[in-house]
Amino acid sequence: MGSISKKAGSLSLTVLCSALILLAGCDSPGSVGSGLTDSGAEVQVVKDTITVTEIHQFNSFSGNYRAISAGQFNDPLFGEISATSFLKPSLPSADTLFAQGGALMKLRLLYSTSMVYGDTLSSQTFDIFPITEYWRANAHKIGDNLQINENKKVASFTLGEVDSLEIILDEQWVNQHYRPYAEADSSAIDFNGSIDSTYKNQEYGLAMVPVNSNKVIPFDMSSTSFVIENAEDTLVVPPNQWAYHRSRKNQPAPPSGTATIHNMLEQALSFSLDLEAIDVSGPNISRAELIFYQDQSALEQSLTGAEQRPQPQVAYLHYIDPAETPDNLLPGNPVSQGTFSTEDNAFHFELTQFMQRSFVNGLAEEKDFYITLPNNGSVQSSLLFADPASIHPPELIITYLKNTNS
Amino acid sequence: MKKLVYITFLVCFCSTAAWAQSEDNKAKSSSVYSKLGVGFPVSSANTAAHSMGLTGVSFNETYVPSIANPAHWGNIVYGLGSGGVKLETFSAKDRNGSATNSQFAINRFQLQLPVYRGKFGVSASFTPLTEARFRTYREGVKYTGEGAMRDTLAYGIENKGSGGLNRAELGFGWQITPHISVGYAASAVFMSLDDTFSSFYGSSEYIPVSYTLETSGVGFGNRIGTYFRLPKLFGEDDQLGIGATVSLPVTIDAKREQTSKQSRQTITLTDSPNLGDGSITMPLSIDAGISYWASELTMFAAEGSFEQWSNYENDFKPSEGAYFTDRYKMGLGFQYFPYITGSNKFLSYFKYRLGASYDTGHLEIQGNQINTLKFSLGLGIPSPQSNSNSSIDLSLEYGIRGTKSDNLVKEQIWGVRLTVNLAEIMFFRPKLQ
Repeated sequence: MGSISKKAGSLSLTVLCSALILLAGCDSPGSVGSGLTDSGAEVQVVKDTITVTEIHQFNSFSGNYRAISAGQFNDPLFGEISATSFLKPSLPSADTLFAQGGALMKLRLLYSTSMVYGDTLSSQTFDIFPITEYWRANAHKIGDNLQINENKKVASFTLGEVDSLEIILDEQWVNQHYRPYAEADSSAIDFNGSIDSTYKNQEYGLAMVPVNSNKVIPFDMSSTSFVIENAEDTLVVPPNQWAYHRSRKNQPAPPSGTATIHNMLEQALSFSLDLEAIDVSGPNISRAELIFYQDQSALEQSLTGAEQRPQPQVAYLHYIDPAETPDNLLPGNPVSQGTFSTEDNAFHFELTQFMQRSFVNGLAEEKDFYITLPNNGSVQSSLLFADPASIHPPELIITYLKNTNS
Repeated sequence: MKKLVYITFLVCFCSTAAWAQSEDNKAKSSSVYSKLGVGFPVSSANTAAHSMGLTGVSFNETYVPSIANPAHWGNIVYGLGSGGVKLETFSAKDRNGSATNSQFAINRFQLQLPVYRGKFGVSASFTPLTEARFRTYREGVKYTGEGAMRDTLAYGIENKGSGGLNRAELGFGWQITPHISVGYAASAVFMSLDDTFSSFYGSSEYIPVSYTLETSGVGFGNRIGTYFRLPKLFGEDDQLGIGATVSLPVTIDAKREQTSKQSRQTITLTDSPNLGDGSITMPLSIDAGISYWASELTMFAAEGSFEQWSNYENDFKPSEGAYFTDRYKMGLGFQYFPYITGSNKFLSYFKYRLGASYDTGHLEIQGNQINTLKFSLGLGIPSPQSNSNSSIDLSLEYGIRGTKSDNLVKEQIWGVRLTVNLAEIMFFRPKLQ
């Protein structure tokens, strides 16, 4: 009996183990059964139109950005724009050229023609005058103009279709306002302290003032420089500081349902969001996108011939306390950077994670959303649809996984 | 005893090895119909009864513990313990495709002890009542954007469920007379059910997200049973057994939460519709059957069950109420115990069982009852130790469930069950008084 029972047990176990391995080894999960009942979950796309509630104008800083603008242009959509550039050459670390005699000082300007605002084929003339008041680029605001001595023209030049130019600066101005500091030992002490501090506090640089009104040019400050040269050698001196002043007059009212936005915080848009009114349940957001459409038709129809406006490629969405503007707009910590798409002529802001958090924690009562264009020293504007009743109202599109269990 | 431990170890090892083959979590699923309600009802029959398509309400074996009828506990003479596992494979088909899923699960634990031998006994057990373990996946398309930016977004939604109801039960049986026994069991029914939905997208601009509906709760149940034993009905060795049990409805006080994970934060929602506190009412069920032992060697049994699922209520899924219908189940079984003869022939060493059952099912979807037809056979292996009454019961079953009509699912079910019945160690054989 014992031997038989052992055989029986062994046989049974062999059969059992084989069955276990065979049964478990043939899995092939599929998608069977999805139609049994309502899914219990559904991907939902919810759209909520946005109303721009306010337009804000700020006088913000314009110094030491990537570019400075100068020129004039009468934009039928955005008014008469005028920009004056201010810049000041830095001192060379060791001058050799002035001492050798016969040295000239030039202003070398470079810019991208695609960023020109206005008539690209016509010429824009500028006069360069000495600035006669103290200023600091870090403190200079775009709406602030500087005093200049229009009786002492340092140079005059005209920009056509070229993208760079060298302008010889008046020798008298160079000899009086730059050469003494360049030739001196920077550690030399005068009655104001060192030569450097005297140059800093008593010399104010130059202003590029537009003469006619054909275009506004953003000069690239990473390439713009002062050049000191004689027959034998050349010394390139970068600008010490730079800023610009911008004014806008006779700006017409935007077309109905649209709002105008200018860069450098000259004009920003704001709106509020009521999450309670958005039909999204739960935080399971797969994508949230805010779209602001540009009124491309109005923008294009208002330009003629070779006129152009540089298209802002990005816009910024800030979520801030209005009481602290514009300071809280400056550090550049936006909620999202919206990119411009030429496919639908709209700025697209990706807000997925922000909305995931917001639908859980709620939005702060004291904060609003602000849209700004880049602070880059150029002149950029856009005309955005701002009203839910407009053709392409701004919209928040949320794609989420909805719990439909019931 | 060493042999028994070795066997148990080997079976566990093989089960694990088998399970390891299905590395994909998606494969660890059972019937897709377990998606509905609180899972698919699970038989609490021991492997011996299960291999005859029965619940075991109308018969019991001296050395095989049974949960089916509390009245049986009044007849116990020896301390008994049992534990079981099962492996099931579901080959499912609908109009869209097919899938094969397996699941390995612990079946039951039970401990039976005589308080007054042959008169009064108690039982403690832990058994699953329902199990939800499924995975469904469907795909869809959404149109996004307008004008030139109009685009199609392809997505998929996966729904995975796990958990179910488990019953911890304590009860007693009393043999009032040699022919009549009654029993009662009180139980706590624990619910733990997770229903996870995940979305996936054809575009990387969309973040896959998921949430889980976690339902948990506890309810208390009562079960009564009776058993009539009528020996020598038609001859000297025959016996008729009639048994019945009634399980009263159980109301589970439950709580349902929706949880999602964002970064390291777990977000829990309880105040949305169909979330928060609620109750689930499990239905009344009645089991009854009749068994006839023609001799010590053979037994025939016919048993039936009724579960009043039309009274099932679930505060969290009220819209599913229409799917539930009263369930009827009938089973016919036969067993043959040649080992009792003491023959030296190899095939005479086992217990043989055979049966079939038809279950109308507790679901009726779009006018289609989700019925199940099962055929099963079993093998009992007594312990090789001459002084041991322990045994191992194996069963193999094949069943067909559901229909492919109306986009429903038809499943072929293969199942293997194993129960180890211990009647030694602490369950030592006491000297007969």
